[in-house]
Amino acid sequence: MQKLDSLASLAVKKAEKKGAGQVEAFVFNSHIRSVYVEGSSPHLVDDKSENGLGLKLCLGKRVGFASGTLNREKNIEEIVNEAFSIAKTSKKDPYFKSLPNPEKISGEIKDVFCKETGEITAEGVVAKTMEAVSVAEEAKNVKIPLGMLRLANYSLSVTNSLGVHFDHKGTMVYTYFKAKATSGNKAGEGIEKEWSTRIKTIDFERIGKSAAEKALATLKAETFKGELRGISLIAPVEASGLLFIIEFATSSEQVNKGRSPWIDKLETEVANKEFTVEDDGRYPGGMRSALADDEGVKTSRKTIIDKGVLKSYIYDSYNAGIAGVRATGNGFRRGTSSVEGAFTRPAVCAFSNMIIKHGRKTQEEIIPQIDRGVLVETFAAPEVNPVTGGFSCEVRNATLIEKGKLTKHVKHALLTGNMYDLLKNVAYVGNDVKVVDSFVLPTIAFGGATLVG
Amino acid sequence: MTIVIDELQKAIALAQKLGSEFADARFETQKAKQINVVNGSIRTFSSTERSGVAIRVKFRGAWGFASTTALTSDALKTAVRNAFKLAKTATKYSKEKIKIYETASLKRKSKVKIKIDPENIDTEEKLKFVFSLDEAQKIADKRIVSRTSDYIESLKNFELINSFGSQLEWNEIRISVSAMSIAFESGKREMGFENKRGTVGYELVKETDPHVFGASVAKEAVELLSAVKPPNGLMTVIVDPDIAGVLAHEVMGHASEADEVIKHRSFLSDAVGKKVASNLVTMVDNGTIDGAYGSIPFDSEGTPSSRTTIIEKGVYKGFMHSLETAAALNSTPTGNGRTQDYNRRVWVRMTNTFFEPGNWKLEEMISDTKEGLLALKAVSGQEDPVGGGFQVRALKGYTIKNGEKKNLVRGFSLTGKALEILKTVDSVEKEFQLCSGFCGKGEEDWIHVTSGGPYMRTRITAGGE
Repeated sequence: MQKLDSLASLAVKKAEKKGAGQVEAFVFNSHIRSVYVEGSSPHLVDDKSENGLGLKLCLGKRVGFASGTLNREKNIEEIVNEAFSIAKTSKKDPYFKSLPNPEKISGEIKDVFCKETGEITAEGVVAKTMEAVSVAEEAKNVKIPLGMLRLANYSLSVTNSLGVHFDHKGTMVYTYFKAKATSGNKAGEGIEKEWSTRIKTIDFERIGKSAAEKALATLKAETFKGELRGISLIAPVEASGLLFIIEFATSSEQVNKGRSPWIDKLETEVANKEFTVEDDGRYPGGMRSALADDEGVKTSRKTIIDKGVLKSYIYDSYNAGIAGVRATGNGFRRGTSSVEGAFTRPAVCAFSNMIIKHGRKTQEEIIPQIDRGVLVETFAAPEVNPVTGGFSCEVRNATLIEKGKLTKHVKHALLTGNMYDLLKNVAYVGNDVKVVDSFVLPTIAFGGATLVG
Repeated sequence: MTIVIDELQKAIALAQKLGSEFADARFETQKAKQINVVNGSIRTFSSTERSGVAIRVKFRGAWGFASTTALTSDALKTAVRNAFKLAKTATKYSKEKIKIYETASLKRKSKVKIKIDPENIDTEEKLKFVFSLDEAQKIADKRIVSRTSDYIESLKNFELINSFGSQLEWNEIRISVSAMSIAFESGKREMGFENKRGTVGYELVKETDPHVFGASVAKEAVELLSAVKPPNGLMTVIVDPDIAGVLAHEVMGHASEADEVIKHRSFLSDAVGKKVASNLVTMVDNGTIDGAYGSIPFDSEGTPSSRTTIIEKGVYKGFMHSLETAAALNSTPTGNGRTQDYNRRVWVRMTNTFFEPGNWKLEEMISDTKEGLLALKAVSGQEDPVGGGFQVRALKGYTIKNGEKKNLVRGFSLTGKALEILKTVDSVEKEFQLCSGFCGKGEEDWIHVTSGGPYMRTRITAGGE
């Protein structure tokens, strides 16, 4: 296999020779190793490698995108021909301005690539996975029926005909464990998830212990009855699912499509003053951190919401062209829990790393300030309609807060509300910052939601 | 891109020589073309073709799996050796040794039956369809502020060899058209959406009037602007085929995947032979339905797909199986060992999962309801094989009072224990519909499926703002 940058350059040259105007080639290589745990044992261990090219080819304002796996040089020719054929038959896109122009990209980001993560042996990967299983199963009546550890090393090269050239390599670790506790005919599940770019930052002993504790706590949970309007204190993993609406509302793609509820809301209050959000493509250890995005546009640290006031949208190059502004380094193809297949799609507008500015108090210090509320540790699925903000999520594991103290464990209830309204009712922001997918965030307390039994 | 079947045979021979108890090698090519039009202009016009080989090796009761997109003889040999080495590593820690159901050697070639090959249709015609879909939404109402229209064709080819002597070749062709409108008025935004999908050829597009399709999506979004707050609490609810399908798929279906039973993660583990629903409820998984989006000729292990009865007249009958789970539970494979692609593992997955129709007409069900809610269109739903909890987000609904459909209500959630919901089913419509989509297991590993059924009346907790 040739070097990625030479493959990308070759693809651009071939497309230009064929008569293309602007061309962008994205070559991606991934090597992924995983351990899947089933029934307390390593059920399957895998090793997967993939090479691919995604090619954007423009004939004036007609744009085509073709992609494919690479295993011989002829593939490049085929992908170029396919992209050319698509562009030729496509309609003009009046909104397309240009691929990104080159700019000076410099600097260094800590913890985006970890040699140890890239080189750990299969034996080492399985041993770490089983450490979490063993610790969890030290708890009485707890088993790990399901778990997974995935490590990836990947390299990318993006080159365009205007002179952009960017190479990047990174590592990714994603793991989850589901612990099941049983007592008589009762069963409860506790889930732990971790994301990192470095295997050594993952504490498998803590994960195992915490998953077991959560599973045991759900055994004590009672079905919630009635209605509770108070403060909802939401753990980072679950909060990230709700706060995904910020990416939707600030994405220039959604603004340009007319879908975002924050169209024309720049410099207005979209949240209360407790709430500040940054996009930081250079956050050390962030899952999408790189000196440039997947279009080769320089990344940076930008304030998106400053003490509740919307300061900026995020822009990939296409949508920046429509808005007449500079792209902000927010064109991405890479996933954050797995990376394979990144070459199969053009870059889309997305946060690099969404940083929710943390507060000063720990979760333990926030709870005594809450007269009436609920600490939510697990939703069935923290989903919000991003267009309207409406949500009603099933609570699978939560604890009521009464007069500043955690009291009863509850389940089988719906937390309902409107997430855009909740952002204006942020009561507390914790200091327990955690990397969750493309988020870096702490526990957050919101007013304005209702727990319905 | 093709690979000669001899290369796969050599890979299996090597796996056997190394000492594997079982091995299979699957070569697949996945081609897809997508046209996405947003607000009158092309946002994405793309084509992709991915080829790779997936190799599974079982050694001393553990799996090793390797995949590669480098399709040379040497790359395949390396992948086999890797997979074997990984199985050897896993087996050192395995407490329970995996068994596999031994099948007879099966040699077959299968081509999906379609009327019109999408690759024989001019791109111009496909573009015209998607632009018509966009235009229909645009002219439907001035309050439509955002329009998205999509056409996707997906063509997959598979070759599979295993150490039982099976040699299979098959293909799958799927077409999808969809539209989404967003309406805006007085600071309020609402959406409407619809899709048509199938394991069919371009005839699906030919049979779709883009003007009618687009206009109905726009109308849905506009109508929702004047929808009112839904009622909250436990109530009588008539769920539509889409929402019934979420109950069938997400709760009853995932809990009937035999690997969840083996992992003690299914609330239905001990349910076989027991009454779990009202007599009116029959539920199946059937991968053989002509044209349905979840239909497959063979699963990813080469087992022919089949019809599996999960609930029959309220009595729980059994699980869906892969080769591995069939051996573990002393049952037979049902053709449900599926995978997303060569980069992903095989495990027990659904195909087309649905409730069978009953005897009622929808109008009769409504006129027979004193007070309740008609719940329409699932926006999202979540699996809960452990607890058997049901949660679905409905796009909209109507209140029912004294046998009449009344106010349109905006999005809400329905929740409850699946078995309690199924035991209170007291009427089932005579019509039937499958709704297509994608199923993930453990938040990833996406495959094409359908779920559905008839309109069903039951008791569920509703909640929304």
